[in-house]
Amino acid sequence: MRTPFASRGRAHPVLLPLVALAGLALGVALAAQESAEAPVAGKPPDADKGPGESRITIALGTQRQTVDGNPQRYWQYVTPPSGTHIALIEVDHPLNEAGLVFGAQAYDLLEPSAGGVGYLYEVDEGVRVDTRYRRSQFYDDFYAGADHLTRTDWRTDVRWRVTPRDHLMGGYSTVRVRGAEEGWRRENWRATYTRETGALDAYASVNVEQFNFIDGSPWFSGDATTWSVGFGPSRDARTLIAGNVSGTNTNLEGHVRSPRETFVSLSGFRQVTDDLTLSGDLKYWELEDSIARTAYAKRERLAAIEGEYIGLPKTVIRAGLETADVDYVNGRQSQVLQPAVNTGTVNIRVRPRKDVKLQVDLSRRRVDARPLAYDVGGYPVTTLIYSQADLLRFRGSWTPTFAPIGLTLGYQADQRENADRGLRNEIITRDLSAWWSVTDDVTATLSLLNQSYGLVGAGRPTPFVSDARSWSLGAAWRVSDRTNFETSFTRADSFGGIELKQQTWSASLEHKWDEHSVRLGLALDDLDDYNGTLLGYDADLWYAEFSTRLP
Amino acid sequence: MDCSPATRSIVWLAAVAAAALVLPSLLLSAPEAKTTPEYADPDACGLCHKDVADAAAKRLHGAILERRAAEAKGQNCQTCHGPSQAHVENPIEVKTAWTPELLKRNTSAVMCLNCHSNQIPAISWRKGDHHAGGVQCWDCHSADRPAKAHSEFIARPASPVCVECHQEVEGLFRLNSHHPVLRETEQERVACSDCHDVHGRRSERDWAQRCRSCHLEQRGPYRFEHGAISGRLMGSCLECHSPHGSPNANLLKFTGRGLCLQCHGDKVTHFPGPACWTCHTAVHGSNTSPQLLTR
Repeated sequence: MRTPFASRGRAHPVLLPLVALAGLALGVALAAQESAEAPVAGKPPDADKGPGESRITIALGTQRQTVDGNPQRYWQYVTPPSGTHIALIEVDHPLNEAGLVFGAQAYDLLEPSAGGVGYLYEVDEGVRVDTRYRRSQFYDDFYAGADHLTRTDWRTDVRWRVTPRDHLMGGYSTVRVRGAEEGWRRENWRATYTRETGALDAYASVNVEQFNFIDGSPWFSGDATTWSVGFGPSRDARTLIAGNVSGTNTNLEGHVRSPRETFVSLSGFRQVTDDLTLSGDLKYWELEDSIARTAYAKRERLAAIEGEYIGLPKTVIRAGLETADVDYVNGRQSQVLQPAVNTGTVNIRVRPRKDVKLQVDLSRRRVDARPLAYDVGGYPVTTLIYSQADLLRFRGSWTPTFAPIGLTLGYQADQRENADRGLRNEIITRDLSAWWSVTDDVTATLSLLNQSYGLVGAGRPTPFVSDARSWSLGAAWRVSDRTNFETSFTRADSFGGIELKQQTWSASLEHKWDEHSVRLGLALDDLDDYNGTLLGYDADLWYAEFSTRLP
Repeated sequence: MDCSPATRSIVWLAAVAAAALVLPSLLLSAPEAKTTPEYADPDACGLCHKDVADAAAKRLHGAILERRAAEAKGQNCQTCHGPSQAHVENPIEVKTAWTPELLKRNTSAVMCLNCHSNQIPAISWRKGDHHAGGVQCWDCHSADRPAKAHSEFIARPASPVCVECHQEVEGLFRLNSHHPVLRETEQERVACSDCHDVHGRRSERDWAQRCRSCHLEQRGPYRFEHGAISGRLMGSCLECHSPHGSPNANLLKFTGRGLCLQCHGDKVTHFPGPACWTCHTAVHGSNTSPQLLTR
């Protein structure tokens, strides 16, 4: 479902129209070229055409909003265009005789938050170019007078199949954040060459990242160069082996040290029988010339093995073990310690009947030989590292054949414990979702979620714990083949340490005829803040959008 | 040489892994060779499946195979559907070679990754959680759509597709603070795939790096690190933040100093009242203060 505010991207006010115009011009030129060619005798006129026509879609929208309360909090998540705007321009050219597929989409042109995507794919040479642009404007905090931040993301990727066995991939991306003291810019260039051989793929890549913070920032600007060589898995469906060696060298402005990271990995996969597969990993990571003056991890050696068995009826069982041996420089940098992190996982998926699915995931991570912490006086105290982390997850779904309903139940317990300090925390999440096809044209949905947090320790009061609950009720009605109506109500609560209540109600009506469509919608959003932090608001938003496809 | 228990565990696991991977290869290689199926004449498929063949030629995958016939080694339909000589000889009894029945849960890995392995390493896919859950490529991708749908193939909004199966996450995205992913008004500024490796599995060790790809100001390196974030002995950013959604501000797990007390349990009475980061402003790391008091 496309959103009234355009969900798929954001557009540069200059660049994306240019991309769209370029695509349009190219489409017109190719269409003219196609029409100039005389049809072959004996063939129907459209026999050589692709499966679809080149289309241009334009959508115009208008919307109004009223916010009574804290607009910063409202706009943190709601970034609609203001007033009447161009909601969408889309050029979509299907595969043509020249082997070209291309298109461009741009949303919310000239709006503070906007974006889009352009792409070109040439089948014969296997050249693909994708470019995406997104600009977001938001507040960096909720209080009145908070600064605007603008973030722009631009990413372009090129993929070229040089020969059937040689592939070249490259790209450039940049992210810029402007406003307040958090201004920064990052640029990234990357290239990967892959050679397919008979048994394995070999590849080499380089990645250069430059990051710059605004003047006066406490953070280091600099650059990081990463190289990587390796081989990929073979095309054998039963045995796969992959290896990689990579290194990253980081230069920091105003700092004499240049941290260097080295990473080596070897992975294997083997289908032992039709029912049993085994996989394993060996990894090595090292950090040299670190700038850290306190405790830090210097080296890690990791080994892992995992098996999957599907021999039992309607059951998939996975079990794995992983151990990591870490060289850890202590807080005074006087000693290198060797803590070890051991992790075990079990996943079981069962489908006892066609309409029932059950899933259980278990995981336990233990850290042994944990390093001691140092207090402000430089004396060692009990460790801050968790001794154990457990995860239990259960999901079950039921879609009976005798009624048009579906039901899913979920439970997840995430626990961490530091035995030395007598500390434990946990997050318990329970959820339920259901749907009901009331008639062939009406569907109702319900979802519930409850999340509780626990914090256990000597002398610990509990005002620091908030729990959460949310539920949503929705309905979709296909009024006719051309008309659809959707509505939903959602309520989300935080309670305990934070007391908030948010209620949103939305409704939309869409009508289509020929190549046109009209959407009308309304969204009411009410946030009540009981903490005295003035986050609350009461907002109304309505919108109308007309879109049409040009031939 | 003295070995720590961890080192011994590594050696043991490595040995088991090597044995598990190599020995079966040696023992089972001969039977595999016997079952290698043969390709049929590339035009044979269209003799019976004319409608399907005509429609496929107008779709992107079909067009690629047709235009690159020489590279496809004359396999045509069989590039995806598998060697089919046996099926041609006995179409009633024998299905094509790569049907799900014959390959059980490895269909995606064989059919799609045969060509797309340089984008998605087969080993990542087969060790990933989606493969374990029986998800196939076409559950998310529209490989069988007309060629015009290529735009949807590469630019399809991903998150609504993900929530079709991962309903529990939808509720989390409604909480007080959350990443702007799902709701209509949020424009999917963050997509599920920005954080999750949907074609493989991302280990906890990679999370910090993933978070910093957007939150550059937390990139570091720092002279004075906050140990919880390194991601080697603890869960990095996820020790303090619930990335899908939280009842607290800034995706925090706990309110006020409760966040810090989950590790620093002895600081209950240390300047009681305000949140710890009122003074320790550089909680992610500092270049000036060992106590993370200033950035």
